[in-house]
Amino acid sequence: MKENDIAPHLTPANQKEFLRVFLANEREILRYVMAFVPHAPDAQEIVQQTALVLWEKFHSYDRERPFAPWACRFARHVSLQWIERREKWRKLLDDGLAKELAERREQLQPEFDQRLSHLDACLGKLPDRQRELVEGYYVRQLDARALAEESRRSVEAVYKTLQRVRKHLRECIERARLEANTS
Amino acid sequence: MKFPSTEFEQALSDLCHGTIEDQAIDGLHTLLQQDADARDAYLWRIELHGELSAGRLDFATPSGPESPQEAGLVKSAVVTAPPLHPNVLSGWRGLRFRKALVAMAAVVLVVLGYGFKRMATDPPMQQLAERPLDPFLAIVVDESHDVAWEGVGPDWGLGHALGRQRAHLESGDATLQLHNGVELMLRGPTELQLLSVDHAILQRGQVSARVPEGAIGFRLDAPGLNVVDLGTEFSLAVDDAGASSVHVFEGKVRAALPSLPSSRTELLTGETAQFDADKGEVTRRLSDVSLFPPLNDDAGLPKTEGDICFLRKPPPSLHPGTFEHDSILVFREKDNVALPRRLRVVRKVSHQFRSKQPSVPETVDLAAHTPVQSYLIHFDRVGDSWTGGVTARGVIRFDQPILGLVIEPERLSETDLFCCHEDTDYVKGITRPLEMRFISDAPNGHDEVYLTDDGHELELTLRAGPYVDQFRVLVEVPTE
Repeated sequence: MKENDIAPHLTPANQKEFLRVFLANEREILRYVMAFVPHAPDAQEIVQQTALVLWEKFHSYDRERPFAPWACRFARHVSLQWIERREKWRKLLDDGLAKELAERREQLQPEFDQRLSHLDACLGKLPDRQRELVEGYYVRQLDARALAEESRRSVEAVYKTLQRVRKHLRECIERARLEANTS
Repeated sequence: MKFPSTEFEQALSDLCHGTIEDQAIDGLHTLLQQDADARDAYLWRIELHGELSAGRLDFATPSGPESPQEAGLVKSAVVTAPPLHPNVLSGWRGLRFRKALVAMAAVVLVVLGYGFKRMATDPPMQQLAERPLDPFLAIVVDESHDVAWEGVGPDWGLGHALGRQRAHLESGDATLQLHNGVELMLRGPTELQLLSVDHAILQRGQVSARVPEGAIGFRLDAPGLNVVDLGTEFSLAVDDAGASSVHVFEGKVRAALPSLPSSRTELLTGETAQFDADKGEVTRRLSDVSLFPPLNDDAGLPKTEGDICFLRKPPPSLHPGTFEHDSILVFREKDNVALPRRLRVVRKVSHQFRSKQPSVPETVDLAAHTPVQSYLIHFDRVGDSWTGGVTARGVIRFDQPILGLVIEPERLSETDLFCCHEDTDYVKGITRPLEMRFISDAPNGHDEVYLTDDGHELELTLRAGPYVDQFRVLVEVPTE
């Protein structure tokens, strides 16, 4: 098979363009996928598969429109197919629940975005140890075992602390929201 | 399961961490089917976790108006997925088609010179006989002009990685840097097998080792002989008959024939001993240092820690895919070059996640004609993922003060004109700049470069996607 047979539409110019727009929107695609599959490594795998589909379909992308919604159409389909093939996720999201959650998320999206506008400030208020743990888990993408070794805690304690941190963040966001609404 | 309840919170947390049990899944499924409030709570918790995972962490700046780019991205996050036409992706459900997609992407990426290296091509190191290649244990940081490796492609050598396979150096000298800082200088013909960063076996030939304090206990075996470093620079030679000699340049080693406990010997600076495993003999003798390859003087060279290796020579190529490992490479491009015009360089970049400093770096203008030493930092990850990526971290310390960093793409291109090493084939263009927040194309950047207060040391955390990361360090020229 010749290169042109594989991807006849991919000229060097739009290859670069694809990389640019995909990387610029990768975060949003990942966030969208995680609404279906919250486990980050699984979600990343789905985004990777989505990237390949997007690559294949890039010739049909209308440059006049934003990339993320176009990409998320495919991400949704890839996510549902991925879920279909995994019993655990299928059990959780079966019986139309995936569709129902996706539709509800769309309705709640403006509210979520409004809440998340307070996230940076709340992250900034975390105590150092909690912030380091969050940074290790979410930014450096260390697994719980590595974080446990690094922080000399048990793996269970790491998970528990992460759960607690997220709870604190939700509470902080809620307080900030109330303050913003009353002021 | 009920909502609200501790059980619900625990199930969601486990779901996010990938540790949820089947029973909890059943309970969560039933609850979400029945309870609208639980569904909303579920979605909000997942949304927050997703936002954190997607990298929206900004500990450095107080909340406030975002840059236009960030605002645009956040706006685009309000994604409403239109109904997907059921036939859009029909026919690609099978693994075969998926593999075809992967292959397609791989080929195109290779044409581009980007990523998917492991999937797309057989790296030169795969020609070495033994697998698995991972983990990468050492990088070739120096080699003589007459070096010849057996079992690898002609381009393999400087800057490439060795795993747990046997390296066969046919001729010339080559220096390996292990990830724990141990340096091994091989003189061909030599066969060496790395088992770990703490342990290697010399089958035949000559190897000299420099073992830093943190790696004391490094073990180098020869047929029938164990040599354990006790903080030293030493050399081990195995002749064609299988007899081994140990010489200590500096420090102390312990050597023993494992079949003969009484042979256990400690050697100090300047001492040499010959070990005959067949006869069970140990012979101390005066050293003829010329028999042992001397280690290169590393005085004045940048010192590296972590995932950074300093190459003693510029590599022939920096194109993506040239180096199949996850180490950050540094090399000196120019010893002394005068800036042809005034140049704005970065002098201070904050930790993005750890400090309250602004993301806009401090810059300074270097005057025209300022003499500088130029170093290039190059990171080319291994991996087939577009997300996640590989993170490499380390520290590099220069003897001379760092005058500034050239990070922004346009300045990198500008300095290429007078800093590039003439024997190196550079990659240029959009594929190489760092993704740092102050770079306009990378508002969600994840690379970190931190210049310490004394101005001599850089702390790097580079997370490369399917392309390379590069930037330039300009250092004061040492006075004679």
